[in-house]
Amino acid sequence: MDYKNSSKWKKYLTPRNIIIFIVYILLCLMPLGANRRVLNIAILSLMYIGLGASWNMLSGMAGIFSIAHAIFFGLGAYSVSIITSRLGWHAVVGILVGLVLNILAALLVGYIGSKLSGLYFTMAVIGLSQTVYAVALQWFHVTGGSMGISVPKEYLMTKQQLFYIALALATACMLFCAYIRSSRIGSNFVALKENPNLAMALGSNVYGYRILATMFSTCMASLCGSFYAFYMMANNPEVFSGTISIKIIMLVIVGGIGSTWAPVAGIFMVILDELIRGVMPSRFAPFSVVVYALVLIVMALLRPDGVIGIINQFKGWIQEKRSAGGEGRAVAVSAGKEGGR
Amino acid sequence: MALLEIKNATKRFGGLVANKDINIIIEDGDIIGLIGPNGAGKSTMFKSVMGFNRIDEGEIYFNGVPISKMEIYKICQLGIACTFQQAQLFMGMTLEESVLVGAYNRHKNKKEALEIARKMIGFVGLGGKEQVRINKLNMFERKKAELAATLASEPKLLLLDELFAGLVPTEVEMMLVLVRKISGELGITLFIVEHVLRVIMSLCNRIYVLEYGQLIANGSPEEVTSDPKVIKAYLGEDYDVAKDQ
Amino acid sequence: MNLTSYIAVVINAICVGGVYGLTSSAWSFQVGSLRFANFAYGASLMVSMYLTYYGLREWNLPWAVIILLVLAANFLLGLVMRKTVLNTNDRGTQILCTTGFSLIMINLVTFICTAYPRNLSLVEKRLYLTPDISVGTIQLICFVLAAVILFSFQMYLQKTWTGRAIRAVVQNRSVATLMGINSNVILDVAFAISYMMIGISGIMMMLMFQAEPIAGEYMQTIAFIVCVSAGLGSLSGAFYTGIIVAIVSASINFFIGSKFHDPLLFAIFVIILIVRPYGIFNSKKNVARTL
Repeated sequence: MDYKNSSKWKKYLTPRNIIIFIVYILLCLMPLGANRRVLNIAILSLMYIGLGASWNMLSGMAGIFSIAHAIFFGLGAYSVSIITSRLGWHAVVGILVGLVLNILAALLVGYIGSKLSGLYFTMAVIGLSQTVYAVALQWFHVTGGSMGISVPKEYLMTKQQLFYIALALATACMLFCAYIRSSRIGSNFVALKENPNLAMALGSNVYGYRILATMFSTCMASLCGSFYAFYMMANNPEVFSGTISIKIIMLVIVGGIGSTWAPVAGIFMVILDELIRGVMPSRFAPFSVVVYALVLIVMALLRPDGVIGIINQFKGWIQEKRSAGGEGRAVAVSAGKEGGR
Repeated sequence: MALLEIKNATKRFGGLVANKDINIIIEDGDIIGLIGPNGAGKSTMFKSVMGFNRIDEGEIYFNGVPISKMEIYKICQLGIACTFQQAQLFMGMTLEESVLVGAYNRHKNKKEALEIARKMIGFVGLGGKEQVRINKLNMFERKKAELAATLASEPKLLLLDELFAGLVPTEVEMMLVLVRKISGELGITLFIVEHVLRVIMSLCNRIYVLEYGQLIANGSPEEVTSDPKVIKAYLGEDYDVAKDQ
Repeated sequence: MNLTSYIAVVINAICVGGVYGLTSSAWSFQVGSLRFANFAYGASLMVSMYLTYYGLREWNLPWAVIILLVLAANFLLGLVMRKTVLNTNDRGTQILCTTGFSLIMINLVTFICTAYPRNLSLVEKRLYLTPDISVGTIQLICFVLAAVILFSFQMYLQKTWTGRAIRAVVQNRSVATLMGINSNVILDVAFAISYMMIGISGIMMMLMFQAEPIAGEYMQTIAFIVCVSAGLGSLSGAFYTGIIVAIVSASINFFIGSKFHDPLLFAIFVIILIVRPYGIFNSKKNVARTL
């Protein structure tokens, strides 16, 4: 029994996991030594990991393309701001309201996407995003119009606090994704992406799983949005914009759409962007979106498996080198090439 | 009570009547064949049973439950599974996971489902390839993988749509052994559409013959092969049976 | 008095609706028939609008040159899209990449022309039907032109060899190839034509509305509504529904107020998607599932 337990633990003692663990510990210690600017970038990146996980679950696993994902994010941000500043209620209520709003939105677009094809889902999401954007602009006495709305001062937090919340959020999102991927629900998500007809013939409730995927994803995005409201202390209709959507999509595509670790693998793009934005005049801001979109197109066309795919290919190549001559390992190599999700 | 009962089923595509007034009864433990020339409406019938088509008239009962308006996944949960004419699989998944999806039909617990999935992979003879991606498998292995996934959903009735199409003779023999094992060891009732008559004659204990969407004969393999209407359907109008004998 | 002004609104809406119909049918043709999920459509429309504006106001080009310029630009844009992102059959890649293209166009235009709305501010003659009800000549011309273009496109699909080839390829690509049709070239041609339709409707849009970088996004949503109510792939249906949608939209503005315009229109869109996803005038039920 004792021996069995130790071997169970040894299974997790791979070099990859050790590296992840060390990086994670370093991340935890980061606020002690880093300055404001680095912390800001780290917080944003962690938030984008959460958002990326959210988008990856919907589009990478379940294969439903939400190209205006920022609306779910923005709904979370706006509900916190409105509840705390206009109604003066506690922020937790705001977060909950954001979740409820997002679940409602998910039920609406998810229902459309479940009964019809993914194309209609995408159309419905774009339509919803236009509508929400218009409401945020025009419903002035609630949303503050294009000026936006700010969160009351008492919710101001230090960067260190924000960093740890962001870290917890990103960890929770990633772990949730990893858990779902390895569970029954995740298998069914991937099955409905790969071949909905077969999935149905094998007894998986495709309609239900589509709605479920949408709901999980929007809830994660909503939490990230609520966090963003506290981080920025003010938000305007820009939180619904395509810039945020494309950032999310690009980071997952670069990481490798569909693999659980894609948001982490692709996050270097967001870090790079934040670094460049610091030194670039704001007039050139549209250019960063152009670059995102170009990266997205090139990666989606040439390397749809992203950085993770490249890493796996490299790993397989090394293993092949190592086992040159031993034909018996060919299967193991190809398995290694394809594994590592 | 019959396991599957198709009563006066009619399916139209616009003006074309694909199935007309079909009556089929399948008892528990049977191996039933459905044959007919190309375009006779065999696959349409299968799709109607599985729920991919909706029949316009008539009703299909499974264990006495009407299923002609049920969602596909619910039909599967009741206990009907099918293989497709062109092997359908989850191309991006490993073999184990795609069979696992089928196993989740009856077992919500991952451990149990995994056990079933591994058992079924071993059953069809793909043991040792659990972690291989589906797109790395060859045609024969894919057919077996599909079979494993459908078996993992633990059906009572299995519809096999041209399972033997595109296989070389040695593979047909292996597949025949496997299909007999499915009926014998797992006790699953089989309903087979097939072009390869040799296969269907050696497997089935009752055969239905379709022509132009209508049933023209049914009975044991011997009865069916000696039925003049069937011979006419397969060999053409001019063929005179009496003269040949 | 109220009724007459409403009638005036409706008549204007009909004229606008014709152009809606033209743009939407281009999108409907691309998505429903050619199976290209083109979400860069609104941005392309917006680029055409800006080109028209610059040609007319900044570069002082004659009309013929402007039309040629817009058509050529759209042809080129369509070609680039067709050769890169729309070359794959994977729906997801198409959606993602065309979204990328759309954002590239929007942000480049924002960078070059700034987000400030541009207006041609044309002085147009108005035709007075009665003392209270008038219709702008430009709008009327646009409506007639849109109808003529759509009608001739339909005729082109029905009567000419290329048109028939397009329909054959749309129905079954592999069989059409077996019949000796070079389906890739045919798809190129069809896509180029649909893109030029977008270009022409972009010119008309510029004559009626003001251009801003996100104008295309709005038009794209309108096109979704029109195409979904007409049923994806139905061209003449898109024209009629374009008019209906324009009237509904104008009525919402007239009776309830422009504040509620977008949410109400979206609500209509959702209701149509839930109740009749295959289109109001379409009887084919399984279209929506297979796309």
